[in-house]
Amino acid sequence: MRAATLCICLALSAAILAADDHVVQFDRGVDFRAIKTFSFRPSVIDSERPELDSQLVRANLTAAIRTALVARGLTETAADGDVFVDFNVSGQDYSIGPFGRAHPIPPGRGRAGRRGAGESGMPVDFTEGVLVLDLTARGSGLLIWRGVYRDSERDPSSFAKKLPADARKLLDGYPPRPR
Amino acid sequence: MRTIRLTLLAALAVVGATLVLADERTIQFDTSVDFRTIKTFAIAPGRVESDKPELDNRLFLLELQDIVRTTLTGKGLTAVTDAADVSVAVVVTDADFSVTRRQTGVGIVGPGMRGRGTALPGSGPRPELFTEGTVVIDMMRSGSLVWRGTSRDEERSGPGLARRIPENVRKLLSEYPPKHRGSNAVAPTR
Repeated sequence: MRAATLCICLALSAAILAADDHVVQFDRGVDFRAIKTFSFRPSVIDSERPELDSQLVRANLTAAIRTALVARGLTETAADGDVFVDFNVSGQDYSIGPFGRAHPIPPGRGRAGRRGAGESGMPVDFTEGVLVLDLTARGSGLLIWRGVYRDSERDPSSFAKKLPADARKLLDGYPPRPR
Repeated sequence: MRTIRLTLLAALAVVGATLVLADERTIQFDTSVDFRTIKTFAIAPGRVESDKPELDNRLFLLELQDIVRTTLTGKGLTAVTDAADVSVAVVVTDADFSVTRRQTGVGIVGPGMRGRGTALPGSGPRPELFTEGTVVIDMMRSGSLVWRGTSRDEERSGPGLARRIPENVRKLLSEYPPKHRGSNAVAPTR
């Protein structure tokens, strides 16, 4: 009986904590097998948190994407690949108010950390991070593949640590098969 | 054993209630139009009004337009680029919400806890973020709206919404052509 109750509590907790989600979108008119080379373009990390807006995060994420694409038979070139790869990482901090409601903390606030006062005095209770990974065709300039990974974590450093794995998950199904 | 089953059932109901978010669809149409005479359609430029990268991109709109094309073609209409009987446009909008949820406790009568039954404690208030996505499919003939399908869906994440909206477009178009009922509105379906 106790085991059953424990399982129930775990199931409830899992339902409440399940916060990761991702989606992959692609142009069904593109033959992805014909894409042989890729080049990185400058990417953006849109966060004021030093745990996210860091050269190390950028380098680790770039390395994970490079490894995943090379493992799928693509070759990196300096500037004129068949597709351009770029990613955008952003983080939105939230503060949980006295009545349990989550309020997004406007930019410029919450820099002092999870329980730090920040400029606004609003403590940061959790961060919703978003990774957007794009492949753009060099010839047409059109977006042909996009992966979006959303992750809610208690602090941005957890999100930063998971970014390379998130990118790998997005690229798991690459190249997509046309329906 | 029976108590455990009841407890599990109650827990599943609680989890289900936690996870289920609203989803509704409405179809409206001009009852004076004979939809059997509509043979061709053109895809009009649609739009996505959202700042979510999984919604606001050409791939997502292309997917929705592809579903419209495939579904209507499957219903005997022909896609054309010029002089179509109707033009079909898809518009997607979204809005974010922050709410709190409380879970009330559940008591189950039975032999557990020395014959006093079992209690699942309540929880909350806890914060919950969700996104409401609305998709509108409009069919225009000679500048007049003749058919509109509206679907509203609440999901916990943008990727969830990006997966659900294509399904909702299919569901809306599954109700085309409309059956005349003497009213220009079909009751919302959940």
